[in-house]
Amino acid sequence: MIKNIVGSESVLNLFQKASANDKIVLIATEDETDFIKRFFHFFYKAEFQFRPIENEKFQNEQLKAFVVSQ
Amino acid sequence: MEIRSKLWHKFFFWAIPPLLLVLVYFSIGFYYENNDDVSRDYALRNPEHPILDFIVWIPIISDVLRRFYMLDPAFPFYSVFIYGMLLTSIYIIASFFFNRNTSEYNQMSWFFFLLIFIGAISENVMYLTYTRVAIILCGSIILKLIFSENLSRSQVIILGLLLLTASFIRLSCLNLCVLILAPAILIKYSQEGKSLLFRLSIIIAIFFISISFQIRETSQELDQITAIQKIHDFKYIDHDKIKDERGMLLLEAVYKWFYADTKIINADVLDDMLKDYSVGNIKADFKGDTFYFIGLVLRNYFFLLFVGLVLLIFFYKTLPKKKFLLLVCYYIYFWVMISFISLVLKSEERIIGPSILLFTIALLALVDVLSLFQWTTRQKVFQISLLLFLGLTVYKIKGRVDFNIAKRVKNETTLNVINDFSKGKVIMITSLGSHISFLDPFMYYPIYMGDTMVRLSGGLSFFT
Repeated sequence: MIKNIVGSESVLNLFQKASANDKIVLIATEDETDFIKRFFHFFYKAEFQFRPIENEKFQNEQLKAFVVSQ
Repeated sequence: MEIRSKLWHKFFFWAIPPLLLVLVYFSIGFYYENNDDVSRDYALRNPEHPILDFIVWIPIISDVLRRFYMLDPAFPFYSVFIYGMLLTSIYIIASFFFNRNTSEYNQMSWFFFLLIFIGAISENVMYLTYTRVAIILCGSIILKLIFSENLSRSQVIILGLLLLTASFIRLSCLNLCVLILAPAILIKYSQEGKSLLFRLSIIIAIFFISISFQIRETSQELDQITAIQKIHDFKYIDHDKIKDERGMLLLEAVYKWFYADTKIINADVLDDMLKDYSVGNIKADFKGDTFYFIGLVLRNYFFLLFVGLVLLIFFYKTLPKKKFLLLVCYYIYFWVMISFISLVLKSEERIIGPSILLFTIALLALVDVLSLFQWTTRQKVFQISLLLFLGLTVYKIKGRVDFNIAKRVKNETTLNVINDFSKGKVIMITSLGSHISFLDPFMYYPIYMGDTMVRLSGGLSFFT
């Protein structure tokens, strides 16, 4: 379904790939990471953790950079 | 002397529309209205993994633009294409003000055209949005084909091909234009009869070509489009009625940025949810939506409303009763239709604004412009009111420009930080869409759209 819009991977695949690769960094708000955790836990039984790095970088948008792990 | 005057007239006609675009760019600026156009633009530019397949956009345009981007990815071919189309429509609109006049009224014609440009067209120039351009161009070409008296067969065919290209920008916009202009076409047909048959047959042929493209597009992506429509329906569910965690998570996902997940963009899953919390065809919050629509029109389109009112009074004063009543029916038809579209389909400014503009241009095309000019020059109250509404419009535009510039500065800062931060890393962003709106369509931003891109609500997530 997603590839019909643009791209070719599901959101779950993206996060699984990110959790297996330290060089992949997520930029999001704290609120979003909290939601992502709950969403994947409920629908996929997948547990993701988000460790913030470089907090000060994106303060004007309340964005933070996170390393993803499972 | 007459020949010299005609030459000057021709010179002004060809020089003023592009000059106005340049003036708008340097005085108030051009802005991507949302993330749709900027995403397409940069996805097409991607040197290694371009994305050419977009919803409601015919791939032929992507293919052509892609070939240009292969020559130079930093050159704004997308913006040039969209503004080229917009410039064409401005020429066509301008032609309604001049072709039917004697040179005696040239200055007055230019004055009226400038009023319409500042009061109504400038908004569509300021914001680069393919939907706005598709509506204005399709509509102005249809009006030109129907109302222009001196078109050769070859000119009709060229306009027909241009209409087909314009419809490829967004197919459904041609449907909307036909809906808006159908009464004007019927009125003209009742006057001209068979002499319009050739031009009408061209419009009808293009309409059916466009419909055939739409059917093919819809059959390929029916499930996805159905799901997206259902996602919109979710916004009308009474939140307090949802008690289970699954429903709450899905609703939150719809509101947030998780459009793209198969759990959400699956029509069956959504159907199950909507069975429990049904939503009517006219959405639950009808009263709120109606007030929103009225407020939107009064707040943003008071200038065009006033022009429409002046035209109605002019029709009342100058036309036979039967013809006046026919035009009153057209007014009622248009406003009922656009209200219905707005309330049911949740249309936005980028659809409502160009639609009202097109309706006003259609009214102007139905008028004997020369007698309208003569009549308005005698109505001092209208002239003063028109200038007052124009002043208010300029004030409104200034407020918008201040807002746009503030957003652009903020977004450029964020993009610079992201670009700086992303060196040597792979970046996944949840809401980049909100950080790329309001950018300048003629500036090159080093935004790299990677080969993996997932569309999310209000933005895109992609790797750099």
